[in-house]
This record gives sequence, structure tokens and C-alpha cells, in this order.
Amino acid sequence: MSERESPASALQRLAGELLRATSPAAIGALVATTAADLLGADAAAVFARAGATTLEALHTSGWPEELSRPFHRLELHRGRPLSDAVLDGHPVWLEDAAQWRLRYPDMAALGTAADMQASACLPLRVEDRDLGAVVFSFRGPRAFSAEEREFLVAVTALCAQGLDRARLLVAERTARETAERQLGRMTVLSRTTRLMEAPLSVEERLRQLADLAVAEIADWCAVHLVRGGRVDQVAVAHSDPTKVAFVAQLQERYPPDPDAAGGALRVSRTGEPAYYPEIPDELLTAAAVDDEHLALIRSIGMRSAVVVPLAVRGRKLGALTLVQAESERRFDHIDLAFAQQLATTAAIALDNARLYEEQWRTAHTLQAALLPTDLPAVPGLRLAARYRSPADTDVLVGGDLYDVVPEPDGCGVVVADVCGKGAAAAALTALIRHTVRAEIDHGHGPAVVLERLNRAMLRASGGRPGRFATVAQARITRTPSGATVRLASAGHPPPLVVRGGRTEAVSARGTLLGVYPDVTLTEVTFDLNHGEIMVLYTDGVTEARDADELYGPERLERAVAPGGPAGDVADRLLADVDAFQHGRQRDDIAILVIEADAEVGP
Amino acid sequence: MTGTTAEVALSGELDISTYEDALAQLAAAERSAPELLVVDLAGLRFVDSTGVRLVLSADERAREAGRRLALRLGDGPARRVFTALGLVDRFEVLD
Repeated sequence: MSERESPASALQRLAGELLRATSPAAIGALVATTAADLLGADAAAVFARAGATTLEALHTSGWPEELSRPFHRLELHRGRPLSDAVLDGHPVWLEDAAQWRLRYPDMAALGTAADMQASACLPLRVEDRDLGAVVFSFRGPRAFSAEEREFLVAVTALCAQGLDRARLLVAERTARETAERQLGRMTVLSRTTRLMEAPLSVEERLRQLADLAVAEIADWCAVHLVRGGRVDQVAVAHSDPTKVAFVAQLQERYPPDPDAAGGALRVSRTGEPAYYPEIPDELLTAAAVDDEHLALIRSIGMRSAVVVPLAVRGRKLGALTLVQAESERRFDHIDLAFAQQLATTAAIALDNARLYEEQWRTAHTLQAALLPTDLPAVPGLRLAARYRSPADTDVLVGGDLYDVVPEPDGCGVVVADVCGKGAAAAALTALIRHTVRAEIDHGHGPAVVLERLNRAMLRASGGRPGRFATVAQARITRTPSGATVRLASAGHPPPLVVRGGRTEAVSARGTLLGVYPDVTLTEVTFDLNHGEIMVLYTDGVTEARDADELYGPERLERAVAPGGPAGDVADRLLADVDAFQHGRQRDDIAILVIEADAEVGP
Repeated sequence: MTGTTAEVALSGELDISTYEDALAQLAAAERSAPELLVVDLAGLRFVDSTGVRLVLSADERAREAGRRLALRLGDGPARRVFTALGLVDRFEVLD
């Protein structure tokens, strides 16, 4: 023990050191060493309140380890000196072994162990704040004089103030950190929501989500997606690209074990999160396949990790992995909860995108089912049809339709365009196809077919004006010179007839279908001689666009004017429209070409 | 409240990409429940079936609410489209 300095200067030195200490642990160490030294105590222990009935040791000194270790946590228990000091708020003085035995017979053996005899148990209080207690013990008996008691109480009060200040500092720091982290999390969440709505592919959105995570909340982020029976890693992010490359090489050399408990592959499939507040070296050792692998994964320096499922409405879509490494940060339960919230936000967006794609596929499947796979052979006529929907998956399928219904003396043909896109439009297209087929089979002429179709459409929409459609319907009858055409059009673009290099638009005025209970429809009748052709189409042709113009009826006429076999005309027109809009198709295109065959007579 | 008139003039292109904006313009005019709502399509450079559907549903809302809806078609795309669809006779056309 050092030579005694004067109590006043020692007290001042202690006060200065207490002022510089910023954590309860540092205060505890000062009290148990410097203050104990100052008081001439041979052992000391400082306890902080850790709940209503518990004390926690901040620091002990002077006792052998095996004596102090069981007292890292103490339950308050009346009838024990330290507890009495805390609960009553008054010091408990025990000056020798006899007093221990008299007042605390159960505790005497322990209290006087390691040659200790005298003990001062003092509550650490500031105003009404109960912060804990300190015990100073002395070898041999010690009569605490009034002056000495006063000094001990004064030193303890100083320590209590230091502890109180450090506690407030910590609380303030924690509150500020919590607020900052909360703010950061809210920012990440709102940016994730915006990101998930961005018009990007699913993979690109997830890559950006990973980048966002490493910018804000983790050192590493990986995203896995379930695709069919596989789980694919679609994103890995770290602020340092060389580290990303390193991990990519590592994974190529040592493919991840799909069944590793708590791994992203497993979490993707089970939907159960995995949480590693600390990643002990044993975990790495267990995961490594050989020494070199172990050395490599150790070099990543993973400290803490969470793996949460991307799941929504019971569907498991993948996993989001967050890892802390060189930042030395650790994930806690709040981080885990936040990661789950983040994953849910992403999963809902993914699920919506998936539903959208499914709907798109259903609509396309339905659309394809609505078109005849092969046109029927109709004696005396050559027929060709082309259908093209936009390749862009962002554009929902439209409701264009063509059909040919063979009749004993020719055929009925129809081309229609339903307003709107998607599954509902496709359903209406189906209604049109089946109604028109049935009405043609009943032997009705084109105007009656369309009128009855209009009624069917209004019935289907519950009597309210629903989606409308434009429909051209023609009845084609063989004649010795070719064919006779009876045509009715409900607001549909006028068919073209090509005769000897000249084109003519056949206008049969009529009201669109599906809106008004009374429709005005007119029929026109004309002949197609051998080699002459009729072209039916939808407005995807005439309204095709380049940078600043519509394809329009004039280009259409020029494209079909050379005539020729039906198939050539259809191909030429489609190619011309394609070239005009530079492959950027916006709407469905349907083309039906009917040629009165020069070879086959009636 | 007699003789109140509101007019909405649409310009540029009316298709799926401008549908929401045009619908919002119509809805704003409909909120004042004018006796006559004039929808001016004369200034449109392009109108497709989406645009027609917009006008048809506005007409339906007007009829349900006991209001009138009238159109200006000009002599450009709007008149061509409404004529082709057989709709000119179905509306009160002011020009």
C-alpha cells in the first residue's frame, strides 16, 4: 500500500477520477480500488441495482476469486448486512467477528472469511435514487470512530454521485443511439417500400435492396430466392467489391451446404429465421469442410448474423441474410425484428410481382386458347391469319380475336377487338368467340349475329355498360365466279378489298357492341372474284406508331395493294407494320386475309 | 341551380398512359355536379379505345346522376374515332 497522502488531497484526487469515468463499470473499479485504498480497506465490492430485488457486482477487489465469484449477482435478502444497508438506506457497521456472529450469525463465516473481520456496508444513494451498495472490508477488527464513519459515508456519497452521473450518461447515450437507429431503420424501411415499387426486374430490385442494407444496417447482405425446386442466391452486397468477389470465389470452390442449419438455403425452405447475436469460432469450425476453408471463412471476420425468411401469406419466397463483420457491430433482438419487417416488406412486393406475372401468363394462355390453332380448309377460298401480341411483359394481353367457321357453302369469319387488357378482356373475347360461332351455326346473317352478340355482352356485364368491343363479321358464300361477301361491322375498322392492284375500304357503318341496348348495324354485300382478296384487321395495325406518326390507313392500303396469295399479303402487312414501329409494339395485332381461289370452282 | 355548365378540355394524346390524368380532370369537374358537362376532345392529337371508354363511363355517370354530357369533337382524331365506332349519334355533339 502506498504511503498515505492527506485524506483531503486523496479525496480530491478520487473526485477528479470519478468525474472522468463515464461508465458504471469504470466507477465501480475506481470505488473498489482507489477509494478502498484511500480508506485503508483490504477488500471492497461495488454493487449496482439490477432490478427491483437484485444487485449486480460492478467490481470486487481484495477477495480471492472463489469467494467473490458467487456474488456477481445477489438477490436482496433482509437479514443480510448488504441487503439491510440497501433496503434501509443506512450503513451497517460490523467491527469484528463477534459482531458478525451476534448480528448476522448465518453470514458470519462468509463475512469473516479470508481473514476479514470488520466490514462497512454502505448504500449508494443520490437523493431518492437507490443505485446499489458498496462493502469495504478490513483484516482484523476495526472500531469505526465517528470521524471515520463520517469519512466513509462521504467517500461513498462521492462514489454514488459518480455512479449516478455515469448511469445517466449511459442512459442518455443509449437513448440517443436507440433514436438514431430507429430513425435509420424507418428510413431504410421507407426506402425499401419505394424501391420495391420501382419499375425494375425482381432481381434488380433485390440487388438494390442488398446495397441499401449494406449502406445502412449491415456489413454484408445476401438475398436468396426460391425458384421451382431450387434456391438461388440473387444478390450479395458489401461496400467493398473485392470482398464480394472473394466470397463469390469462395462459394464457387466450396458450394454452400443446402441443409446447413440456419443457412440461407434452409431458411428459404423452412421459413424459420436464424439469429446469431455472436458467431463463435466453433460455429465456423463446424461449418468448414477443411482447414483451408476454415481459414478463408475466418478471414471474412463474421461477428453476428440474422437470416430471415422472405415469406408472405404462408408462401416461402426466399431469405434475407444480414451479417456484421469488420464494423464489430452486433445484432440484437430489435435488429432481428427489424430484419423481419424489412423481409416482409420485400416479400409482399415480390408476391405482388409474382401474382401480376401469373395473371399475365394466364391471360396469354387464355388468349392463345381463343385463337384457332389452324384455320379450317374452306373449298374455293384461301385463308391466312396472323396474330401478334406485344413482347413486352409489362403490357397486359389485349382482346383481339379472329375466327373462321366453316359452312357447307363457304364460311363465316369474324375479327374483333375488345377494349382493355388482362384476364377480364380475355374472358369477354371468349364470350364473343363462342357467341358468334353459335349464332353463325343458327344460320343468322352478320347484322343479326352482331345484334345478338350485343345482347349477350350486355347480359354478361349485368345490364350495365361494360367493356365494349368492335367486331367485323362476314358471311362468305361460294359462287361460280368466286364468292359473295355479306359484311356487318360494329364500329370496327373497315375491311379492305384488293382488286387488280387497287384497294377499296368497305364501309359498313355500325355501333360498337357492349354499351347500348339498341345498336345500329348495316350490312353490305359485294363479290370477290377469283384472285381478289379481302383483308380484315384490328386497330393494332392502323394505330401502330413510330416516333411521331400512326401507321394509318394509307400505309395499310399500300402494303396490301400488290395482292397475291393470302399468306403473302398477311406476311407482308405484318412485316411492314413491324418495321414501321421498329419492333416496339404497343397493342395486339390481328390480321385475317380471305382470297377467292382462282383454281377451285364451286 | 339551373344552367350550370362545366367544361373539360383534353389535349395531347388520350390513351392508357394519360387515362388517369384525364379521369382526374373529369372527376374534378363532376364534383361540382354541373347540369351540363362539356368534354372537349377537339384538341386531341390521338385517342384510342381507352379514351373512348373514359367518355362512355363519364356519360354513364352523368345519366345516372341526371346530368347531361356533351362533346366537342373538332375535325381531327376524336371525330374520326367516334364516327368509326358509330358513337356520334349517341352523344350531344356541340360542333
